[in-house]
Amino acid sequence: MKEKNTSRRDFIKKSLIGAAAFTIVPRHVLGGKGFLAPSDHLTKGIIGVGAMGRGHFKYAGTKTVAICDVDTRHLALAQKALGGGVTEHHDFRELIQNPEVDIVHIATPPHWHGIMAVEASRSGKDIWCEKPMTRTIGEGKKVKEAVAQHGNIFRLNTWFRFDANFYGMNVPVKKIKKLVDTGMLGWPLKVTISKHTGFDWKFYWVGKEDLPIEQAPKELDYEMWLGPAPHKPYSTHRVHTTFRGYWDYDGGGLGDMGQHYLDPVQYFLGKDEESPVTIEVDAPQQHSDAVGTWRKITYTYADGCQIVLDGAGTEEGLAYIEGPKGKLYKGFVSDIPDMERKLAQYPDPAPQMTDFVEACRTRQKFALNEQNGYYSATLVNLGLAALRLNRTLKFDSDKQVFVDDEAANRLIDQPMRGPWII
Amino acid sequence: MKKVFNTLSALLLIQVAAYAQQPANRTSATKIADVLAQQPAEEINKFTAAMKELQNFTAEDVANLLAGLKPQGGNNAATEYAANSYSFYVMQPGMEAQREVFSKGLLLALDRLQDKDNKGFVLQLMRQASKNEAIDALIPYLKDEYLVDKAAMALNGIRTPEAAQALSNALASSASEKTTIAIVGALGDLRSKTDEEAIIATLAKYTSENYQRNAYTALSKIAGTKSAPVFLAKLKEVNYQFDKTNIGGLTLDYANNLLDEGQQKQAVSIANVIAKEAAKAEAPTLQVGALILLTKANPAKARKQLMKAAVSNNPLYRAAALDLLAENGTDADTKKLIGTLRKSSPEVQESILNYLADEGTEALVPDIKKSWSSLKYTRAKIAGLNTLSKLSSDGSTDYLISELPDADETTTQAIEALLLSSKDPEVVEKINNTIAGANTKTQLALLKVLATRTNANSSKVVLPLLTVSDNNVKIAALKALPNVVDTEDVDALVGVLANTSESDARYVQEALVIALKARSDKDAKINQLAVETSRNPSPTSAKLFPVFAGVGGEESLKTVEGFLKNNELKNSAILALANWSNPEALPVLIELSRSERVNEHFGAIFNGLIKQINASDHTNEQKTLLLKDAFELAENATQKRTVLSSLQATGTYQALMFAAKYMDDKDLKGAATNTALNIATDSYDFIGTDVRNILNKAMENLTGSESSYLREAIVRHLTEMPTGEGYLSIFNGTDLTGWKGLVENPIKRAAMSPKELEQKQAAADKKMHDNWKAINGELVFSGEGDNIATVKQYGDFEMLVDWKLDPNGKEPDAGVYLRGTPQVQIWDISRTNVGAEVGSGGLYNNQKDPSKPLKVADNPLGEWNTFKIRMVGEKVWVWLNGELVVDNVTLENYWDRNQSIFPVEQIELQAHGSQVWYRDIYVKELARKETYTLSEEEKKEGFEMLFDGNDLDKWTETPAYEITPQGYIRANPDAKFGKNLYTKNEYSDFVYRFEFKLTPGANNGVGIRTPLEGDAAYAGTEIQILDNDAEIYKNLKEYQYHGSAYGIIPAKREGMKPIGEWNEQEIRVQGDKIKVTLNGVVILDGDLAEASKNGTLDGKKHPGLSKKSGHIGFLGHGSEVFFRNIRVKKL
Repeated sequence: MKEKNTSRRDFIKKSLIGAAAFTIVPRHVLGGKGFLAPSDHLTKGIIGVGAMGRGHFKYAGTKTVAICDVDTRHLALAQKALGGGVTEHHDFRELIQNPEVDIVHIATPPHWHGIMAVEASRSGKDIWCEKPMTRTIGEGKKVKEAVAQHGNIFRLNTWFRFDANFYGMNVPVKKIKKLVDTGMLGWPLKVTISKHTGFDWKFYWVGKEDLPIEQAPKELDYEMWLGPAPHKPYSTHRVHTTFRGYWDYDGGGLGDMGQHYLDPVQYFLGKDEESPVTIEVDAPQQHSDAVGTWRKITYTYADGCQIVLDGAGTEEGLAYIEGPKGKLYKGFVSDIPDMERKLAQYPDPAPQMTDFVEACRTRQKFALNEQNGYYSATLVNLGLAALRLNRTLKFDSDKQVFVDDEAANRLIDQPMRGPWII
Repeated sequence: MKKVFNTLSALLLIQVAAYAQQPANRTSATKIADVLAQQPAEEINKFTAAMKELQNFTAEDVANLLAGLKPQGGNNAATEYAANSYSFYVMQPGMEAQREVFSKGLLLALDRLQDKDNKGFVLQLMRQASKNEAIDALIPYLKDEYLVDKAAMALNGIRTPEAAQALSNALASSASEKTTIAIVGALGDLRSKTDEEAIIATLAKYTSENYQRNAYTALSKIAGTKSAPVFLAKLKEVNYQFDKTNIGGLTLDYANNLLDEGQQKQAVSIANVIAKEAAKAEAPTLQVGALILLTKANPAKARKQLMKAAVSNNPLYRAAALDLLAENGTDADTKKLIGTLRKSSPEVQESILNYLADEGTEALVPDIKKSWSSLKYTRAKIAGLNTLSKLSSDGSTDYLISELPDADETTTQAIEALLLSSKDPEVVEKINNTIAGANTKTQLALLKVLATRTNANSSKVVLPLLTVSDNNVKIAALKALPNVVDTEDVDALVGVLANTSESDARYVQEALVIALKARSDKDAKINQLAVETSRNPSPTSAKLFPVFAGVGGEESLKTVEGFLKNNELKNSAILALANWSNPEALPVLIELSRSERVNEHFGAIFNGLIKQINASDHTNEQKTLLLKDAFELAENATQKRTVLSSLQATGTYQALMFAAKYMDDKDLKGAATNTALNIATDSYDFIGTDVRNILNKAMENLTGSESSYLREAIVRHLTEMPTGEGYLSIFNGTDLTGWKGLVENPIKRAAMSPKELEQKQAAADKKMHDNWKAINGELVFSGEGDNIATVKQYGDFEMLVDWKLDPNGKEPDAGVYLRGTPQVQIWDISRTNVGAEVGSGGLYNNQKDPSKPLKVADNPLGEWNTFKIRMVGEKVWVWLNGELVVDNVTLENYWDRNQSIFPVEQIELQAHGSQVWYRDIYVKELARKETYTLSEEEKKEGFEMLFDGNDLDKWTETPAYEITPQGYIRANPDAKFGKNLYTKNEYSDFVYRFEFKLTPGANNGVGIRTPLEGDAAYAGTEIQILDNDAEIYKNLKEYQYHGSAYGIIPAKREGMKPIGEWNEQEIRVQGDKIKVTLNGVVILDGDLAEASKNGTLDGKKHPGLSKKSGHIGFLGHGSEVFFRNIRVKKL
């Protein structure tokens, strides 16, 4: 199946498969606000209705008809927030099978994303999945294959590549892409994601070593919560709002915020079908179970473009984007004189398909989908691998494997605990 | 030093055997303790050093390391860090030998560990680092219900045919569903062909959905030929619908894997069955999968099917077919699809047109245009326009524009979007050329495009439209104006502005700002406008104010400020100033914020003020002062919250303390908490009780979904915060607690009898209370009387204090006395008769050293100022309002110029002839570098100072030890091993006295009679220095306790002070006699010859025992230990 390319930098020669640029007129152009009559509403079922999943109730164009959680306390809270009357499931497979559900939302911890997305894909339903897309590179490949095989529409739940002002930049990413595409900054570019460029890597999501063994609360089905993850005795800090601090389920702040920050960069650098070739880390030694902090992660692409995640935030005055001809700082400020007026002379980036309901109806790829989403999730997972190994990794972008590093390659496909398998 | 443990542990026999082969002296337990002491490594060089050390581990050492694991929840972190990192480390190229040793160690550990979760941890390590050598040991665990998953994962990680074989064998004897699931899953991942039939057989045995899904997944991956009927039967059983076994998707996976392995015929046969039956069962998901497979197997043969599917009414199936055609279709197919457009449904038309946009060529454009009339459906039309735009080299721009007159609203918007992103380089020129003569509808659409995309000629076509009669066109032209405006348009626009309504003026103003800013003669042009405006003020003049505000500059500012006196235009001027585009209007906004508190626009003034303070390039200290002033002016809670939030970015201690005051205020607590917690957690410089209390309070106040994360962050920050006190408030705001009146000067006070001083102090205190008062949280001096002084005496310190002079006072003047001595100067800088124009902050009374500040950093008289003063030794630094004005200058002793400044004394605020206000007074005491000297008694006895805090002149050079700012020797944990610190001289019989301070787990030692090379514990003798209560040293032998002659004579485990406190130790060596006294407790008193005559306790050779003389040294080993006040006496 060909990979549709929604974001190609068409002035940069690339030796990739020859699909033409894929462009869709945005949804708002077609129907405007309130396009769907209430009876037209598609329905959604949400797997995982903790704090994150309950945020999915509000996403426009669809109506919540079913919820699923392995903690009955979450179900009760969700029912209350929705005003009751919504079908409850304990087993996500029942929600996927529920004929009332058109679209499956996956808002569980990341160690479940791959399995659930593949399952929903095989059921023929469309999928709205939380970031990070998957916890391993291998699971990401599997999701990509399944969606291709079954013709589902998939969207990843981060939106900065097509909507809203992008954190510290005060402008939508579209405008940054336009600037990059003009070539005014030159090439290759170095993008620094740091608190001084508008993106603060706050390290709330660290794990703890030596967790005490506790009794799992009766409301929580801990075995099902763990699912494919290796069994470890229950401890409150492992689950719910703090699970991001453990490698078995996520990857700390990089897992939580990484794809939000990285996906737009991948988009405006035109790297939607490419992975970096080296990943360097500067970090304290990582624990086997608990995720720690890091100071810096540097991704380098084959053409010399770099993405630097500046976790320590020690360097002030850095540009967000630095190119040989110009720099762009926090707040869309540049050293290029009269940049805004110059920008007005250039075409906008190709429009993107940004309405999920419309994408489902017309079976056109959503702006952020399983393909480009795979690549930005892979950026996250490459960083996490380099952190765990605490060394520079080399990656083969075509083959999507690490070069000369079996330890890293063993992290690509991590075996699962039965009966879960992907 | 290094040799902490010995071998007499539970693992005695095994270990002894292992050690015998070791060339090094180090025992297993020692190596382990050494590695654990370095976990986790903060920096890469330390990490690498620890990994290198692990390379010296034997398999036994690895097993011993893991043997230290306690049940889950115990203190295992160090072991887990080390073993986990090493498991990744040994997988690097060229490290196979080390990997094998490590893996063997894992096998030993797996065998010996009892706790199931600890075994589980070892299995995880095996998954990461083991290969075939581990397989046999893993097999038994495939029968263990608790560990089978992890054992199977480990074999899965090994991923060799041998691992698959082991799983195969285990499958045959697997007795439960649980173990079978784990084994079958792993066999699937390993694509173990030989197990196909065995797995098929289990399907009848375990019928749960979980099992079936797992087994079918495995079979789909294995892709053996015998599974085909099994899959198809199951798929038929569920009538080609989705079920919890995922059989549909798995059958497709299976068939695809067959195809990949060259079993084309069988794959195609399965796909054909699915294609046919799924169509009947209305299961498009499976139809799609089958179509993809069939196309992949034989594209030519599948084309017919693809063409049919491409016009299917099922959108899922159609989309998949079009995707496949994109890669496999021919030009003829594409043409044929265009041909179907006429008779297709609108949805199919839309899909095909979207397909053509990607896959078509320019040659098809005429054909697509021909079918145009058949497109009735808006979305299909839009898709068609998109396609035409994409395929034509000229973007079909003219065609798109020509569609506008008849387009509905949706189509119009789509055309606008296409023009905006069109790659046609002429697109703007074409719009420019069309717009004047176009109908209204077209004009409106094209003006919308020009509002974003433009060229240099666009202004010429837009400007005339500003004066047309159609109001909608006029407004659209106004909106486009800022984008199209040209530098030459200024005069024209000034004319337009005068005649534009208030509500529309903003577009013209915005355009004027852009045009003016881009002009090379910007300043001249502004001057011209300013002069005209000022000369002929009229009500419409106010329309130019926002232009001045947008362009900025001195002339603009002067002009608008001028209108503050014009009653009619004053408010317009105020609004322009409040919205000024850069911080240059800050001074006038400060004035307005005070003078215009009743103005209806106070809210705008206030917001402008805060915005400009934030944007200004003032120092953070100055911003803090300005924001604190603004807070006093705020009229409502919203404005106060704005100030509190803005304080965050200053990051100052004063801002932290200010915000913290409002953490209990019901309206302000959110903003106050946020600011306080962010300032506090962003800096480890802010420490101590007050900061800890603020952070604890913040934790109580936090609410919302992110609060659990934030709480975690705070807890972590508190844990990592350095201990000790930081800034302490020395003025409580309500009374004069902690302060006293001034009695004479330090020299005279020292000469007084206690009684005399007491009497004089009482009188001075009474006088103080007459002249110094706490009023509204400020310390106010009346203008008469004497200095006020701290009760406490200070040595080295940092001080923060805000001060304000009285603008109406006589000769405004004040100062801060440091250590009882004048002074850091404060004065009215307009008093040029006394030289005050140099500014405040200087060390006024210096004669030899500089007395003037480096620059003037004073705020206007009557405004608050803030000092940060640092005094270390006799040196002083002063920052006034954030600017460094005194840099490392000696403060001379005013009271006796022949002596240096007093080492400790009180801080005083100076009384001069006018009123002074102080507030927010904080002092942080700094640890002082102390120089030690011999006591009189030691001098008499003949002791020699080896280290007094200043230099290591009497010691050998090594980077492993350094002198800290406090004057301690620090064993640097980042240094490599083997670089001990030795005295240059040799000593035979001696008394050695020193003080030391341990850190948790610290390990060091005093070498006596040692050579400069070799292992000092054996080549000389080592007196152990150790935190022997640390967890990692729990198995210590008594001759390894602190103070022991290592391996020879044990010391008593007594006398040590808690970690972090200083200990005094004396080591007395005379002949074979040795005596160690720790904090006055004799912990060792023995005879080295006597103790070793039948062999040493550690069973090792100690050739050093025969040495009569040698160096004394500190034997460092990767942990942090401090030493000071080191003396020696030769006997």
